[in-house]
Amino acid sequence: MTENDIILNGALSGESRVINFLYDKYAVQLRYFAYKYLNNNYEVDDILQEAFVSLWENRKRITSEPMAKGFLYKFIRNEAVTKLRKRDVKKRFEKLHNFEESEESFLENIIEAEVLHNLSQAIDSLPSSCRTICLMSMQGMKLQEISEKLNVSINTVKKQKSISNARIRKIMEELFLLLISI
Amino acid sequence: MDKSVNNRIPELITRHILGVSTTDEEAELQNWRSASESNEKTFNKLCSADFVEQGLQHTYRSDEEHQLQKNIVAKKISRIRLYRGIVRYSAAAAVIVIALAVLMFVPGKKGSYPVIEYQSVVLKLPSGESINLKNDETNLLSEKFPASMKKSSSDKPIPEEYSVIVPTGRTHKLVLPDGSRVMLNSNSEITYSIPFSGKERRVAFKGEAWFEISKDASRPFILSTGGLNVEVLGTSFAVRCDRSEIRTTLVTGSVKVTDVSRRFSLVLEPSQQALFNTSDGKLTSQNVNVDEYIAWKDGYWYFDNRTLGYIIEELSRNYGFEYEFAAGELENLPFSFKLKRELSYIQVLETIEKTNRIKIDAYKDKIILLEK
Repeated sequence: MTENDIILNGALSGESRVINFLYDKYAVQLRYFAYKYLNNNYEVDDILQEAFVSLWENRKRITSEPMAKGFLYKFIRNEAVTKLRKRDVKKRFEKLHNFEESEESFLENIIEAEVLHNLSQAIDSLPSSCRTICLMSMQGMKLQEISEKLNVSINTVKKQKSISNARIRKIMEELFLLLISI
Repeated sequence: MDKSVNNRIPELITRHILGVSTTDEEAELQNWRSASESNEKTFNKLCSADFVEQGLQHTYRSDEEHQLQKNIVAKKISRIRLYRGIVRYSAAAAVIVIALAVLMFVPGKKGSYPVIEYQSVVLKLPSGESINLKNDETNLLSEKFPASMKKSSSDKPIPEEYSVIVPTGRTHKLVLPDGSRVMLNSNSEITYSIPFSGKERRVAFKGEAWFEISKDASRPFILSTGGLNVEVLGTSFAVRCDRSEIRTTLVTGSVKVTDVSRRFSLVLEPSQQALFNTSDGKLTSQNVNVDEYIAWKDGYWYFDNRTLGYIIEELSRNYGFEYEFAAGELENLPFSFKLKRELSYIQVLETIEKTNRIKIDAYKDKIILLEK
């Protein structure tokens, strides 16, 4: 039974091990997501702690990983907005500055966090020689430019690129099995 | 938007960026992009060359920090478990539980302030040997001075270099062999030669110091410091070298300031300050409130309408604590105060906190400045 199945079977109760597993898996993208609202790392750490504790407290009704993911996003958004409102109250006397968070920007922030997660997972899974080439081509460099910069033949670059593409496709199949329920 | 298919878009964007998408997927993505202006904006942001790097930079945690955060979560969960467990086993124990719960969840309890240990002031001998100086004053004219040093200076006629290094959190008074007095602020270093003779009295210096130079018209006192020379006849002044600039503040007498290339030169009058920009080599002068630049030598922190960002940076340099502003706008709050430097950094910070404009907390060996 994988960790994923543990949640799917509703066996999360009592298993804080699953929380550890989810923390390792999603911390990076959730931090990015929280940072988008809060703009400082001190509160980001706090909000992540609260989110995972709350996930554990609500484990009975969270029966799948997509639900857990959706729960975390929502929790962080709501807490972050509360924190921002508190900041806002103090400011209201000085300048009229109203914080409003639309459903749309919530989804945009999720998209950003998810893409960041996907990319870092995909890139991490590559062998280091492929990784350099992959990063360079992500920065918009042409195969020719990469081969000049790395001082290797264009055929080597092509070969590495096709290895990394094959790997990425495989990784992505695993990644996208998971939906997010919001 | 459909409630559970919205990770289709992240998938398509990821595939696009990695260059592994099919024609159909590209078409689907194109569809989404043209659906709204904000979609297109999000797409372009994600496709920019430095998105991953920038994104990971904000969220970077070392493995230890990550582990630490995870442990905090686990600890909090086990506390809740403990609490629930007690409730389950005994209703009668409710009173204890409440007491425990109060103890465990009292909010607003401050993290404990990091304890900082300061190193001692060091005298470096020409032999490379280092001596820890126990007193906060060293008189090079007096007999008490380390024997090893006297010997080496009398045995060899060639001048040998000595350095006094003052670490964070310390200050040190020094009487030079010509009777000139120097007070070194923390993070400073002075290098002089013994015997202290010749046509000029030359001293190399880094950091911040106060100088009272004894008069000797025949032998000018020359202080060389990161690209700038300060030439003195008999006067008192303060020098402070930062990464980007060197400030020379004159209190009495007169000094001549010259950059090493000898392109610029200035003669200062009392209450004037020469400002040397180490990157472009420009030398300018201005009139200043001298007290603010020399208060440290009399044992005071003195800030006259300075921003909190400036003040905390100053305090941190001298006390050696690390800090972080939880809200950027705090850095611009102006403060004026004069406090004794013998106070601990905690006392100084708590005094600032008493103004009720900010809140101070400690977190992971760091001081956190929060909005009140």
